[in-house]
Amino acid sequence: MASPRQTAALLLRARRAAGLSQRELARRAGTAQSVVARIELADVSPTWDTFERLLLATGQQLRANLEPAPVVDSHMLDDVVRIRALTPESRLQEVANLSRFILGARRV
Amino acid sequence: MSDAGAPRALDPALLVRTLAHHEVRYVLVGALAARLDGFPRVTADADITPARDPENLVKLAAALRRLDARVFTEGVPEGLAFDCSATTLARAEVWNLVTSAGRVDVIFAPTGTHGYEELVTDAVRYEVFGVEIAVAPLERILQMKEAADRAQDRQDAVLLRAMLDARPER
Repeated sequence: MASPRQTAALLLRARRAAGLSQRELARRAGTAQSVVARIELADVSPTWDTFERLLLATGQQLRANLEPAPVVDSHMLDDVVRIRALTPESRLQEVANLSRFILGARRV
Repeated sequence: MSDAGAPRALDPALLVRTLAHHEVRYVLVGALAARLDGFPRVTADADITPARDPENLVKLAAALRRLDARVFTEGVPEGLAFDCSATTLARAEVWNLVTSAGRVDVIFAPTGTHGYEELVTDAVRYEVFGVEIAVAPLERILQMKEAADRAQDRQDAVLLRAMLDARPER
């Protein structure tokens, strides 16, 4: 499933949106406040069932989708080396130049 | 905006110089900040996290007025006029703006952080375009990307992790 940080952020967001304390959320989900706290601190990665139950108790639901996994192509990391060889100003100037180019381009 | 209807290209030099001229305290975050450490994805906007104290908001508002800041919205390239004052800026957590320096997002507390006071503690200092700026390090930007967790953030996070893994020890 998601990383502990991701589940922590999701649960915290859902709990705050519902205006619940950790204790109240735990009570509604039939678990202990310490379980909620540890998930929100990213100390543990909850099981799917536990996470789903907690989110349901906040009035949210967990939906899973398939999406292409992010990948890093080797040419991207090659470009990192090239960019780092530039001066800091040039690193930013490249972004500015490309931004101008894109805005100036017109499809004909 | 001085040239209504024409979106402006991102102009980091104009942005950082204007913010410095008005003595705004902020940390550069997001993909433009990561660019300073070699991040290869080109971004269309600049993300800044300013200090939220009233004095700094007055300075920020003055800088944004100088940059003809307007509120960004889809379908209105020139943006929408707004009362760019410290009071107004304090009313929202995020401002998506179009300015004469391009798209600028003012984000008081990027996801996964508590804002300027936290970010400035480990910000990296760069001198660019004649001014010194505080820039969030890659580790911080990764933290924000992981917390925000949108599709683009996930892609960026993979790249940032690879960059951190490959980075020579400092």
